[in-house]
Amino acid sequence: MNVINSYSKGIQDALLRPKAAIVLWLVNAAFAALVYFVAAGAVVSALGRSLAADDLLSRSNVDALFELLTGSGAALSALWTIVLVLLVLYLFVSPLLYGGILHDLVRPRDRGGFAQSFWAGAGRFYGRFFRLVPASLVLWVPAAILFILAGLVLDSLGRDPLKEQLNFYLTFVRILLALFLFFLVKMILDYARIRIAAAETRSALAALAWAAAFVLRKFWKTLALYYVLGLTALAGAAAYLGIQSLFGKTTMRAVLFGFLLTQLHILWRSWIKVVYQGAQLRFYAQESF
Amino acid sequence: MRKSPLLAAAAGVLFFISPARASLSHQIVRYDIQARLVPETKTVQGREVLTWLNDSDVPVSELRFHLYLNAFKNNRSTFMKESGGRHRGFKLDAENWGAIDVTRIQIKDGADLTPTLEFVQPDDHNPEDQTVARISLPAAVKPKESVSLVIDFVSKMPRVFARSGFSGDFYMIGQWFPKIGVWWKDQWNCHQYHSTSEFFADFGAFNVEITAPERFIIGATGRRTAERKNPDGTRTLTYIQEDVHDFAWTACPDFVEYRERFTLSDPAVDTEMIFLIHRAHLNSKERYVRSLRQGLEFYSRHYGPYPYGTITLVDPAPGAAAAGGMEYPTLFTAMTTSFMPGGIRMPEMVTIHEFGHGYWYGIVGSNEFEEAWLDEGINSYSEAKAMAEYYGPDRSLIDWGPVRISDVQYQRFSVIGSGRFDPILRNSWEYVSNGSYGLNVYSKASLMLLTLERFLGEETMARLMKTYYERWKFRHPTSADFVQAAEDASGRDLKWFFDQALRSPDKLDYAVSSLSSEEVPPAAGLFNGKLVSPPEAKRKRGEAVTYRNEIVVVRKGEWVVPQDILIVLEGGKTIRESWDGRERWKKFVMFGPRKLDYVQIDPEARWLLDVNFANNSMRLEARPGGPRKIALTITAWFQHLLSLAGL
Repeated sequence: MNVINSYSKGIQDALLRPKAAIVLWLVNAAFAALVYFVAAGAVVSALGRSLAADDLLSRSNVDALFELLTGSGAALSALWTIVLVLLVLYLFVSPLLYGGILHDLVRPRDRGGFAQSFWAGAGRFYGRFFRLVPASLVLWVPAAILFILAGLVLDSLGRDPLKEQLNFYLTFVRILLALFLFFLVKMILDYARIRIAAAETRSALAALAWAAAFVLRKFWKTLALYYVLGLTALAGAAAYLGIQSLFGKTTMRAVLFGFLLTQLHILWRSWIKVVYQGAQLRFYAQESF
Repeated sequence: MRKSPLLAAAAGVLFFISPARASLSHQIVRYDIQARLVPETKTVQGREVLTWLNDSDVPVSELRFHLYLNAFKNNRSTFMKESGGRHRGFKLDAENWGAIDVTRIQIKDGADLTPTLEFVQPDDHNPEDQTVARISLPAAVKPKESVSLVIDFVSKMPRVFARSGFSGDFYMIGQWFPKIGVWWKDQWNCHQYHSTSEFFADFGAFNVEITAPERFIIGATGRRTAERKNPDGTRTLTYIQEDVHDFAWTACPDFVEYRERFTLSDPAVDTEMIFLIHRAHLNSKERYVRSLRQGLEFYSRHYGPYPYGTITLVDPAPGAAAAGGMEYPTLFTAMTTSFMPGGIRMPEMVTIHEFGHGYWYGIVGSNEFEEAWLDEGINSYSEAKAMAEYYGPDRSLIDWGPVRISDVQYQRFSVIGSGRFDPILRNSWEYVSNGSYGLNVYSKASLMLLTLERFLGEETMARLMKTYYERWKFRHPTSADFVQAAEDASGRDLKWFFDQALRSPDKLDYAVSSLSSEEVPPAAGLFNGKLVSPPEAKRKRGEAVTYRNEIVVVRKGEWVVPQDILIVLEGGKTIRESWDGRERWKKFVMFGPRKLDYVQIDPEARWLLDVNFANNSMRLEARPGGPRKIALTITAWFQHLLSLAGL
């Protein structure tokens, strides 16, 4: 019951804070804008004013794509570099975003608007949320060890090459296990941040330990809430992919419409992330006292 | 006891060229082999009676043999030194080496020659390589005479990582018996087993008795003519095949055997398709059957009717993929997995390719050691054509969701994305790397032929291929013979093409370098002593504008080929120009009332070997739609990634 309750309350909380989702989307779009200019430069440097460049709009010209891959080494290197740099930079920005949104969710605004609350939380929690990143190694490392050990067991099951079909299924088991462990650690980190924001815990490590214990204690419920939220996100992704597949992108108008849809989907995902924080915060409030 | 020279000559002539045999080939060898598979020791115990005809005009006093399995004997063999114990991504198993031990070799009813057997290394002088042996004969084999030898041998099969060997209960027994080299151009052509090389042998007849435990399902080169059960729980199968130059067989208790007939009326073909499919891969049965039918039909129609009574497809067991994708006369190994999406056409491509080697290697017996493109390149070209015909020219290799890639595109990608160190024509072990060998003899050679086809026209190319096939079937052609066939079929001098294509590592790259369309201003200055000044030089209302259109095309590579140039003006008017392509650049200047729209060099994309199609064209005004679409797509992917990476 608490799971459904937290889920619905989380949705309400997020609906009351549309600006939170918009902030997340804006940051995402700002990072992406840099990638756009570098990518456009790479394509133009490889294909220039050629008919092959034209062709890219009207059809999937594999030859042109191959030449893009083989003929623009420096430009593509720059693109990959900027992507990596931006991903790392985003990891530094993430604690700001978490802090701002959680602060606004935890403390009802008595005065001032969303922006004031957001920036207050961003500054207040940044240090502790950032320290969670290295502290989370205490979770990532055991998760990796668990994955390796499970891999050894799976290896022993599929060692006989004649069990080719079994090996194929075991590959899926490995992927599912990796995803499960990845999201489990992410969920514990969510509760650690909630603990810091809600209980003003000073130590990131202590919050992490508390969150791990909390998740273990309420394992099935926390998991159920996390995956119900995940299914909600997937429903949006399915709708997005479904609409995208309805039209071919052979005109600039269609391409721009497709990109607009992507922005709506990213906005949806941003909103779901706010729902995640709101719902887990509600669950924390109900279950931790 | 040795035959008298006269008797030997008579027997040789009767055996090899008796008109009653109606041989397709001039048979130089005959092998009668008894082989017994001993699974416990992973060995094949064999006795071979080899009859060899000296078809040359000079006496031959020594014989040379391939002992290919010694490539897997230790890490000092030339094969191992060159490959580092890896072959096409598979690694040797240091617990299971392979070898062939010749325990006795003697002239039939005559002298024991075993003491004269010694290993030689004609290619690299590596004293530790034992893949070629020679024996000295007590008396030379005179021209047109033959000699018969009895050879006892034991072949230890390695765990398969390069074509031959075992994996569990699966055996692919290839290159497993002492095989005589080719006496060619008055010397032995008998190369060592190299990391990249394949094989070369003379045509002849094989009569092979294979004994194996009853539980094994057997497949082999040729047709099965007899079968008997033995008291010791084994059975013996006899296989016979004429007009081939090798013999391979396979054994596995987990094979499921299917047989179907393939018939064609024009040209007349009637052969039995035998499928030995591992039970784990029965999901691919229909794909194997369909693609082998396609291969038989395509090659029979385009080159010549399939001449043998059987064709056997062997599906290697899971774990034995290293045996897959290999050709032997009338038998080949295919490749698949338990799960293979229909749009990934790997089983079809491998089946058609390996079947095709029955023509380019099997029937047209070129020297794979020295001119590998003659089998791999011609066969990759044929495979690409067949795949395009049956699966669509734009999706012949992959048609999976939005991803569509043709065989030709894949070949081109592998060529344009790689370095240029070697020419197509080179001894197979002398390329800078295995990768260079592969891209040159397979992809680049195939693209060369596709380019030639676009240059000569499909009809002429078809005539060329048929001419080459008919002229050289059951013989040993060289690259020069192919060039000659090409010139005869086309009636053109093509040496300029093949000299560049076969012997040079250089690249072919032509480009449109620059375009401009400048308005020609009205006349100004002194004309007949009268000054026409700028104000007067203003264009009158309604006066037509003239543009100076300038186009510069350049040759960026070393290859020189004639080029067509398509010039398209505003409004769609087109102009065709030609250029012999010799100079480094050529400028075209033209005046007229229309500006340029775009210029394209090689508009029909005849020169498939051009390493950059993108620079073959240029617009006067950029159209940013395409680059923007790609950039927006990359941006959207990045946004999704970012969304996953953090909050």
